[in-house]
Formats: sequence, C-alpha cells, structure tokens
Amino acid sequence: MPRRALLLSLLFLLLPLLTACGGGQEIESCLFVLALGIDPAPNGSLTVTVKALSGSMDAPESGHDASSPEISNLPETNASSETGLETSEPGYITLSATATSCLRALSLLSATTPRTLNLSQLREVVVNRTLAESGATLTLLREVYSIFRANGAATVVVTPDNAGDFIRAQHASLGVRLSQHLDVLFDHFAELDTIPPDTTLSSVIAAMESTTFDATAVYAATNDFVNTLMLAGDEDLGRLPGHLPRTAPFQNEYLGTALFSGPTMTGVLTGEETSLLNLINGNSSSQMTIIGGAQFKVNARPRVRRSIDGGALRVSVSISFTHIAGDEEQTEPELAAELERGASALLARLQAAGSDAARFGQIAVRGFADIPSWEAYDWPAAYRSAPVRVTARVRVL
Amino acid sequence: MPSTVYEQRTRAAWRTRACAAGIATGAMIFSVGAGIAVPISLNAAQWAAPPALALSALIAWQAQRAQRRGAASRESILSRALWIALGATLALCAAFLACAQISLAERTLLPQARIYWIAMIVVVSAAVCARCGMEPVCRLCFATRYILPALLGTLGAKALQKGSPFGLFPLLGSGAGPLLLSAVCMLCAAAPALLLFAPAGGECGGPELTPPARFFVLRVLAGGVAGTLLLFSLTLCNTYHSLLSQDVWGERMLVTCTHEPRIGIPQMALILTQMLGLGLATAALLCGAGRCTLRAVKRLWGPRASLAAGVIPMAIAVYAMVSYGLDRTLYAAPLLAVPEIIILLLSSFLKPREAI
Amino acid sequence: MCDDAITLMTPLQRNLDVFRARLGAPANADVLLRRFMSAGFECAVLAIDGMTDAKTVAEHVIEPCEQLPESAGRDVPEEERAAFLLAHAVSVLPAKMKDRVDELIADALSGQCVLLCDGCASAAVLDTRGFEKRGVSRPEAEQVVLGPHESFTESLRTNITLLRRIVQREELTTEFVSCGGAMKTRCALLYLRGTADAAVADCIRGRLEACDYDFALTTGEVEQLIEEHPLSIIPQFAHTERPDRAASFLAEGQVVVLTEGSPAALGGPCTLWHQLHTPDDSSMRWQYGTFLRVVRTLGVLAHLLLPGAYIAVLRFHPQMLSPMLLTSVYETGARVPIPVYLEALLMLLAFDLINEASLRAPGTMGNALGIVSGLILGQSAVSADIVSPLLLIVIAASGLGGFCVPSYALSIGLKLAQLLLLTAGAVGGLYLMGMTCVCLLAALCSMQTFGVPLTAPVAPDRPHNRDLIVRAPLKTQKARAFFAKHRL
Repeated sequence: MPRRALLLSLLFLLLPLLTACGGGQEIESCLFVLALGIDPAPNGSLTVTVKALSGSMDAPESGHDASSPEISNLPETNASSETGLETSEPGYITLSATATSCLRALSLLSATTPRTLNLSQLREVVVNRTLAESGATLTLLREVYSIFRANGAATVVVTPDNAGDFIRAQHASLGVRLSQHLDVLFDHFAELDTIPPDTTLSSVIAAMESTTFDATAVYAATNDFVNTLMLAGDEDLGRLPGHLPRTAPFQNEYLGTALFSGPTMTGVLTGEETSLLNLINGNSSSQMTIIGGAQFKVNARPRVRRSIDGGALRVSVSISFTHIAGDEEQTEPELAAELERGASALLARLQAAGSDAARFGQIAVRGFADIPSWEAYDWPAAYRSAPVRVTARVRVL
Repeated sequence: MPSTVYEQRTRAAWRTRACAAGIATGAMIFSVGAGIAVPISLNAAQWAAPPALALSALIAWQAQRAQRRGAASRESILSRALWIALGATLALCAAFLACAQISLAERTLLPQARIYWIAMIVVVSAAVCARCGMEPVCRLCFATRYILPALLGTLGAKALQKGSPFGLFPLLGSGAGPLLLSAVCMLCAAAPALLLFAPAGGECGGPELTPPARFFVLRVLAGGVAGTLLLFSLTLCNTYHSLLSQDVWGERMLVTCTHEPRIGIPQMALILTQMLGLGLATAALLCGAGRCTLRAVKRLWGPRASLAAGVIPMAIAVYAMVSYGLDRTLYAAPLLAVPEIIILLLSSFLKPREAI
Repeated sequence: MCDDAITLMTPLQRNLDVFRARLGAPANADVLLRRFMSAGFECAVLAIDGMTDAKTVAEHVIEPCEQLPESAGRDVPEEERAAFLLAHAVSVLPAKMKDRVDELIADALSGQCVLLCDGCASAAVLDTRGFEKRGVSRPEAEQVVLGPHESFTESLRTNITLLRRIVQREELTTEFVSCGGAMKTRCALLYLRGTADAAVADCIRGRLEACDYDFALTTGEVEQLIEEHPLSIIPQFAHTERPDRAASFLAEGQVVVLTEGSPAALGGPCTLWHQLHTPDDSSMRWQYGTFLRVVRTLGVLAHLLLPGAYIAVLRFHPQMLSPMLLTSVYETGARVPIPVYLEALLMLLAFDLINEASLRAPGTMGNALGIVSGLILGQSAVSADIVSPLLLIVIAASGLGGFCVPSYALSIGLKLAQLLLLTAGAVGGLYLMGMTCVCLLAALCSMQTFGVPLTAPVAPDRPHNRDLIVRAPLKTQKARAFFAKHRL
C-alpha cells in the first residue's frame, strides 16, 4: 500500500510538468482582436487591419511606423509586406499588415506582435466593397474562420470606404467597451430591421457555399458630413449609409444590405428595402413603423408564407397594425397595395442581382429527393426568370 | 437476507448494466454516424441509424437468453474463442469511442494541445475509471441516465434555437445508394450492446434472477434513440454544403447551426456533456472487455487483471489510430459488424455448452 | 510471581501485593488501598484517587460494611464473602463480581472501586466514578437554527444517557467494547435490536476488538481504525456531536459508536447523503428544507468546481467569457506578475491558513484575525496587484460553498478534491476537469461500507424515501433506510 500511494503521488506531481503539452496560455499572452478589416492593396495584395485589446487603460504612445527595413528584408515579405502600429483610444491598439493574401497578412501580424493573435472575441469583419464585388470574399472569410478559428458570430460588414479607416473610426461611444458597444449596436439595428438578420461569419460562409440561398451582409459606411444637409427627394432611411443628413460622434453608419450571388457581391439595398426583405423572409422584429404621416404598432409577428407555385415565386403577407399616432392617410387596401408593390419591386431587384436573399431556393429544394438531382437542376436560371406574385393583407385596428 | 430485498438488489444491478449498454450504444451510434454516415449521406445520416438500432435490440434480446442460460460447467474451445472475440470487439469499440473523444477534444476544447497528450488523457481516464470495477462504472452510468439526455436535449435545443431546419431537405441526402451504404456501415454501432454478454458479477445474482428480455431491449433502444436524435441534430440546421466542408471527425460532432455558432457557455457545456457520455461508454466497454477476456482463460478476475486485459489492447488500438490518422482509421469501424454478427449468430445457434 | 497472577487468590494480603506491584504503589501516589474489618473478616478497597468519588466509597461501601456485626459473617463461606457484602451492605447500584486481575485493574483505572475480602477469590467491582467532567453544552461544529442545542461530552456514560433520553425503546442495546493495544479505549456500540442489521453490529464489534493500535484516544482515531477505505478522501462514517442526530442514525437502522473521552459519535453504515444532511432540514417544513438543501448542493458544487473552472476558462477557453468580463480580466491579469494557477494556489493556501489560524487562535484574537486577514491581506493583495480581484471573489465564493458542508471531515475531503480539480483545470482545461470528475465519481461509486454502497440509494437503486436533495413531506416518509433490517 505505501508503494501504491507513492506511485499515485508521483503521478499527481507529474501532472503539472505536462502543462506545456495541453496548450494552455496565460490570458495576457493573447491579443484579442475585436474588429478586422480587409482592403485591396496595390499589386493584388491585401491590407488587413485589426483592432485589439491592449490590456491597458492608459493612452498608448503615438507613433506610426509604416515600413521597417528589417521587415522588408525578410524573404517572406519580399518588400511587398508592411506592418504598422497606429494610435488608438485607450485600451485598444490598431495594427495593420499588407501581404499577398489575408492568411499571410494575419500570419505576419502573429509573427511580429509579441502576443498570440486570438480571433475568438471577434465582433466585426469589414470587407471593402471592391473586394466583395470581385468574388474574393468567400476565400477571405474562410481563411479567417477556419484557420484562425475566428468567432463565427462576428458580423460581416461590407463598406465602400477603406475598411481599415472604418475600423479606426469605430470607437466605444456608447458604453465603456468596444465589444459591448458593437454587440449593442448590431442588436439595436437588428431590432429596427434596418440590417439583415443572418450576417454572422459562419452563416455568410454557409450561404456563399450553398446552392439554396444567397448571403447577405451588413452595408455600412462612414459619414463625412460635418454640417446638416437637407437633401430633397428620398426618405431618410431610403438613403445608403454614409449619406444620411445627421451628425454624431459615431461616424460609422450601419444601414442596408449587401447582396451576394454566390461569393460575389451584386447589389445593395437601403435600410427601408432591408426592412421589407426581413418582412418577406419572416424575420421582421420591429414593433413600430411609420407609414405616410402615421405611426403604427405591429400587433403580432407578421404571417408570411412563401411558396413556389407552378414556377412562380409567391409571397403572401398578413400583417396587423394598431394605429398609434398621426393622421392615417391610407386605407387598408391602399396599404396592402403599397406593400405588394414594394415587395414585388424588391423581389425583382433581387432577381436582377441574381441574389436569392429571400431564400426561395430552400423551398424549391423540397421538391427534390436527393442532392444530385437538385444540383442537376439549374436553380439560379429558374430563379431569375420566375414570375413573382405578392399578396398582402393589412388590418389596421 | 429476505428474498424480496435480494431480488430488488439484483434487478438494480442488472439495471445499471443495461443503462451502461444503452449509453454505450447511443455513444457509438452518434460517433460512427458523425464519422461515417454524415460524410457519405450528408443531411440524411440519421436515417441510416434504424438498422443499427434494430440490430442492437436483437443483440440485447439474445444476451438475455445467454445470461438466463448461465455459464457452462466446462468451457469448450469454441466458447473460449468466442469470449476472446467478444473481449476484443468490446476493446475495439472502446478504442473507437476513445478516438471520438480525442477528435472532438482536439477540435473544440483543446485545439492547441498535442494529440498524443489528449490521447494519453483519454486512455488514462478510461483506465482509472475501469480500475474501479465494472459495477461502479455501471452505477455511474445509471446515475446519469436522466441527467445525460436532459442536458443533451436542453443544451442541444439551445444551440439550435435560432436555426432553421433546412438540413431536412433533400430527404435522401446524397441519394438512396449512399444512404444504404451508410446504413450498412453503421451496423457496427450496435456492437456495444454486446456488453450485456459480459459475465455478471455477484451483485447480479444467479441466472434465474435475470430480468426479462424487454428489460434490456428497452434500455439499449433508449440509449440508441438518444444517440440517433443527437445525430439528427448535427444535420438539422446545417446546409449540406456546410457538412461537406467539415473534413474532420471532431468538427462533425459539434452540434451547431450556422446562425448561432458561438462557442459560449451553453455550447461548451454541450461538448462537455458529449464527452461525459463518450467517457462513460469507453470505461464501461473497457471493463466488459477485461471481463470477457479473462473469462476465456477461466481466471477469477481481480481488478488488476481485468484492467490489464482491457486497457492494453485498447491503448494499442488508440495509439495505432492516432498515428495512422483518426479519420482514416474511422473507416475501418464498419468491420466491427463482422465479429458482432458472428457472435450473435453463434450464440443463437450453438449448444449451451459451446455458446457464451 | 506477583506480577504474573491472572486471577485473584484467596489470601487478601497476596492480592494486595499483586495490585501494589502492578500499579506501582506506594510510589504511585494515586493508588488508594484501604483495609477495614467487616462482619468479622478483613476487607480492602482499591481505587484511584481523583477517578473515584471518595464520598460515595466512604458512605456507601466502607461505612455500611464496617457497620455489619461480627456475627453476620460467621456462617458465610469464605468464597462468598464479597457477594455477601454486596448483597447486605453495599448500596452502590452498578456492581459486578469479577476475578481476573487484568479486568479488575482496568476497572480501577477507569474510576470504579474494587472490594476485596480475605479468603475470597473474587471481588466486587462497584461503579463509584466521580471524576470531574464537562457539562452538556452547545455543539461547536454543528450549529442549527431550530432543533436542540445539546452536544455530546467526553463522558461515555453521559453520552449514552443523552441518547437514551431521546430513544426510549426497549430494543436500544448498548454494548461495551475495549479497543486498542497497550491502552484500551472504552467504546460503546448502540443499536436498535431488530432494526439494525446484526451483521453490521457484529462486524463493527469485531473490528474494534481486533484493533491493536496502542492509543486510539478519540472517535476520529477509532474511525480510522475500523473504516474500509483508508486511502479514500471521503469519510465513510457519519460524524456527529449532536445526540439528536445520533438518535436519527439509530432510528434509521445504523449502529452508533461512542468513545470514552471523545464528544462525538460515529454512525455506520452511512451513505454520502447522510453527510450532506443537517438536522435543520428535517426540523423545518419541507419547502424550506428542500431550499436549504439545494443551496447547500450548489455551495458544494461551487466549492469543488469554481476555482478549477475559472483557471480552465482563462487558460484554455477565453472565448467563453463575455467581452466585458474578458476585458476586465485581461486588464487586471496583465498587471499580476505570477501565473494564474499559482495565484489561485496562493489564495487557496491563504484562505486555509486564515481558517486554521482562526481555529487555533484563542478567543478574542480569533475574531480580530478574521478582520485582519480578510480586509488587510485581501485588500492589500489586490491593491499591490499580486492577485486579481476576480480571482479573490472566486476563491471567496468557493470558500463559502465549503462552509456549507455540514460534515467537517467531508469538507476537508472536498478541499482535497478541489485542489485536484484546480490542477486538472490548469493542466488540461475543462476537458481534463471533466475527466477527473468522472474518475472521482467512479471511485465514489466503488466505495462500500459494511456492504452498503456510498452512493446508494441513487446508484445503485435502492428503495428510499424522497429525502435526498428534495425533502418530501414527513408524512410521506414512512420507510427506514434500505440497509435497515426491517424497513417499516
């Protein structure tokens, strides 16, 4: 018995010696990235910008080192890769690197930063519109998600501006922490239905790979207006982000949808169109809406039925409002007709863009017994040419 | 001791044994299904499980008959060979479940850890549990018989809460041919039910106190159905393209939907619950393997002998699988169906003296 | 030759010489030997000063014997003289006749007095114990809100009396057993005949008698000598200092072991649930009792798992943390100079040191110690960036959970398990913690005491009242424990 006890004790003592095999790391040895931006660079390269926790609430030293001779002499970089450390708000640092691929840029950041890059707390992936339209988005997102084990719930954002500048302009204006700010921000806009719902990294990747539906991402831009400008014409939310007549300390505006057909971006929807898209998809969650000069409250989740009937795409919407304030300028049939017009126009735009964001493919696939027969069917062509029928029923209490 | 008390205690002991077999069957269906059926049939993998369920019920029924028959006074060479085959089959099942744990841990909980270190942890944990004996491991399985499915159900529902069931269609997945192939491959998932053939300890009383067949069949089926439902949850809220892109066994065992993939506390708790089920199943099969092997050599099992007889073959098999590649060796799992069916047939048709 | 005498001899002088030689008198000043005449023959009383009540001996033994006339003993045969005195003079109630020298010496040493007569080869042993002992007071370690506030004392007789006051049944049996080698410790086995399993009582008695450990002074030492799994960190007997709890053990069909000189009782066979229940659970209504048990269970789980889980999440699974929490931990962690595992070990050690020091420090100093250590050490450690505040909270919460465990022995055992799980969490994250838990649970399921599994009636299944975590109404709890001989 004493020998057994001795052996057991030795075994327990050995355990801490095996610490290195488990892969555990002290938390302060990680660099937690909260936002990641990808831009095209000259010569077909990519610039990856990350905003990460610095681990200190002191203001960082200002300094910018655009290129370093040591780095440029490395065979890996071959004078086409650069790293830079940017000034940032207290608690965060911004890093960037340029390389021939996203994978190599992130590897370069890992190799030259004295901490291990950790994307598990990633909240936002911002892709430049040019890249998105070139069809490179899927490869980029796959690299970030699979190889660097990024947080699959990070929101994918497409911006016409420089993604790195977009991230630099992103500050924790509401609340203390940037991550909390971003979470609250996306939740808030999702509730308003002005951004599409399934824009997480993993769902965007799955949608880009899928043949039954297409991906959507949040469309955002930085607002450069200094003074309030009253622009005639479109409704406020009918504009694209970056062009809204407002001023605020948080310049980034998240409003609208980037439409994809497969891995390629093919169009943009405004905030209002996005609300309509959410309604058609049955994902509408906004409780208040303004139609004409009146405010209405949505009584219950709208009943939406999508089907494919004889090759035609059918949408049937039934929605019940309660009038809250303002003058009702339209009757129920008029509201229904307006809804039908809007939805038909929206679906036509989606068809023109080749983007099945309304997910009719998921309905079409039910008619096929197995995957080979579904893939033999040319759904994208059938979708583009299918007639659209929208029926709406509106009740105002 | 009054006979009613004795009867209650023997039934309680059989109940623990049947629970262990049920958990092991469910774990095997889930692991083999995720490993083999999902890549072949994609989103129709769960429809390949019913034949394995039926076979496991048949094995449980036959095991009850064998236990009722009792041990022969003199073992023939054939029956000794059958015991050895049974022990080896259970040890291999334990090895496969251990590899499932290793793969799942490597992809989710310990992505930075060395795979051999994870393998060591798995084998040592199973050995330490098996060291305690078959009855304690079966008791632990019995104690978790409600907690495990409740946790899996609750946490799985939480993980899929925001998902859409687009994984249902197309119903046949890759097609009828691949589905049939998956079903054949999954027959090996019924092998853990052979645990019920393992020699009963003193707590289980004599052959006359063996409960009726439905006692075993229901518990094995309950475990198997739970495993099948968990397999279904793997495909329910994922597109078949997502399933195609999952090229690692451990990644396929993760219950997620594309809309809520965050590895938060509920997801981690779900993975740990899966690990618990796999770990218990591995330990139970290891104990059974040890008992069967030693029964063949007609020695009274002591804790050390049972442990060695089960752990050594399992550890060798795990090492071989990890070295050769977990996903590659996974495709050898269907071969387990061969000894499984042979043991079942021989046990059904041989005379009592020659059978187990 | 005097030393080797096994039984008494007829000449009184020779017997007295034997006792003097064995007890070291007259050098041993505690030995009292008083010779006197009674009924015409010579007698002597042997006792130990301080252990026996001199007044009782004088008034109820010597005086009545001396008052007997010479004629009273004329017709009494020599060998029956001691019995004659017992029947006609001595007025002490507990009395026995013995003739073995070893037993007589042991009885004298325990405080009884030995009455010897010339010509008689047997002696009367009279229970005239009168040593100083502590009165019945409140329990130190098992406080309750409702319920009695009496606790056992060091006197075996008092403890038996306390139990008999509660369990007034004819089946209650007390057996005295001597345990030990050179210095025998007197133990008492109590059980309800017909309710407790006689085989268990026999087993315990056999183990006590087979003990050859020289100095088994306390209940704790006796427990260690008769338990089945000495390497286990979980105790296998229910330990209590409360007579009401010991009485409940008896009613359940358990055997209670009391030890002379120790204010505690052991109850066996016991399960893990016996060690997690308190008398308050039964004294209160079932809703409150259930709530308390749930809180206690959560406390135990927090005590076991919280520190290890914290380390595991920080080192291996930071993605589980919410971003706000992560940022806070990240910033404070960056300032702490030592790894988080060592930090946790230090804090746990500090916590245990404070506990131990509070127990050992006398009276008022013990109170001040809590304030000094808690406020100054804890606050200062955080201000000096030696530990992170979140870890301090985790350790404190875990410590509070440990205080919820009713059994002190079990709480120490759980502390050891906590350290093991902490190390497992630091080495292999939540995965290794989980595997360690499974191994510990398997080991727990393998433990049995007197044939009763420690984890019964949960695993394996045994008939039981709904009284494990959820405490069903008392009216529905009709059966005794499954290990009782007769359950109803």
